Amino acid sequence: MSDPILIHVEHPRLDAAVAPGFKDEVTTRVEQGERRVLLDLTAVQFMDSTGLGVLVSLLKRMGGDGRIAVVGAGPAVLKLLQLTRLDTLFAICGSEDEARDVLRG
Amino acid sequence: MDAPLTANAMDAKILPAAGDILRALVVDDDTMMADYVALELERLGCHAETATDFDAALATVASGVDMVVTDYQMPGRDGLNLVAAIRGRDRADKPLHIVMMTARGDEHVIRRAVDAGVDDFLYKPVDPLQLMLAVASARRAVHLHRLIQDRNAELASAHHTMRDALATLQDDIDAAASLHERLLPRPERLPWVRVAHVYKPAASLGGDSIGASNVGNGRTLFFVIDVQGHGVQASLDSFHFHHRLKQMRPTSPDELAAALASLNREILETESEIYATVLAGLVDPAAGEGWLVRAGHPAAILFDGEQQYTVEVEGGFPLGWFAGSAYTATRFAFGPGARLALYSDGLSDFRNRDGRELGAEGIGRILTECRGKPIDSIGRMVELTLAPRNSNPMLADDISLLVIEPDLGDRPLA
Repeated sequence: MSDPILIHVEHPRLDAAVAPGFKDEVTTRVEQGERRVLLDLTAVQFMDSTGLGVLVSLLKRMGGDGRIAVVGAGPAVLKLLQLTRLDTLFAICGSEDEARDVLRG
Repeated sequence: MDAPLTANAMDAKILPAAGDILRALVVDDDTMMADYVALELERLGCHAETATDFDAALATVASGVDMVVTDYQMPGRDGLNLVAAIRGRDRADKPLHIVMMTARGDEHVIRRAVDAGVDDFLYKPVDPLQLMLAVASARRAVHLHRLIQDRNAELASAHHTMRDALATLQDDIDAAASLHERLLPRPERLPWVRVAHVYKPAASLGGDSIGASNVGNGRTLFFVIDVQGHGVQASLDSFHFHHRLKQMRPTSPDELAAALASLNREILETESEIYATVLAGLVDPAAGEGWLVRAGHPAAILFDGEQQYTVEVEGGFPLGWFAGSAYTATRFAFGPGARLALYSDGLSDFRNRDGRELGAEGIGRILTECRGKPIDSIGRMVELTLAPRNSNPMLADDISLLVIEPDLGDRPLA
């Protein structure tokens, strides 16, 4: 099985200002039929509802068998993922290795 | 020069456009000279008049000309005086090209003339070729000036139109905002509870909505909706979701959970990317209980008269994300003395001047501090906490708070 695609999110604030650009960026990357994405959110300090919407649309775009693992989620991002229950759909991982294992499994 | 100069192909670029004929005035105390220059100007496609003294010249300029060709040396007030007088009453919006005729050797005059506002010089005796060049440059200047004037007029008119459109738009937005405000809980229609609220959209229109309505049997429906984004789209959606929830009029916990599930389906059917987080509840003060259903929204805080705690509600996904999302109602105690606070993350994420986040804890603290005081004091204290925001117009998010408490009046407990 090939490696999942790794997306380093470089925006410290994933909000309405950067969401459209970020969306285009990730959409292009998953458009080739990729079904497993490893999202590195280490750089993200803040995410608002629009940023969150992009992650959800990414998941939906990949269809039913798509899987997303998240590493580097800080407290604010983690709280948002828990509040919206996205933590039940995304694999929240402590390290990249762990995330790769999860995506492989 | 047999053929008129204006017919030369070389002059094509300086040909007057229809309605663009240069109106020229020739000023010289020597009438022969004035007539000669005027005639040459006519041959160059200008409409030329003559004047032989200062006063006559000024009068003609006042009637509107594009170009003045004046002699320097004239008895009484000379060409320099004339130019100064013309420029003195110049209207910035009227182009006027001034050419001065001087004798060779009058170079010392030229500097003063330029300062007075002369654009071009002709040496006497006037050579037709020199005159043609002067006219060409006058025509170009006047043409450019008129072009700029037209553009300016267009811009001014466009600006006007935009300003009017903007004013209309602002009126519409204000009207929409006031419609939204009217959705806010109305205490007089809520016989079983007392409510307080704080509602501060980030812009004139927000995506938050606060609702409370009497659904009969002593039960009150209430909710806070937070639609993703701000502005018109979010506001319209939140307005709609607000109405749908009230329309569905859930009167039991199961109906409330079902109402959120239907709204979720309805939003998905629109195939937009809009989504909303909702915390909705029902309270039955006479029975001393209530229920909450959560869709991706921050949990409510309950103050039971003694202490505050978060009402843990398992909750489902925000509305509009996934088909088949399930929601369940969680019961909580809502006896006398209880106060329940619902809020949007705009409030909990609010940071004061020191950059400290208010948090759910901060909201809980305010509930505790207002113990024993009328419910309105909570709203006032929250407003006070938010006050520094007023000095910072860059508000990050819509802010909503709804506090609800039982109001049994003289009614007996069940």
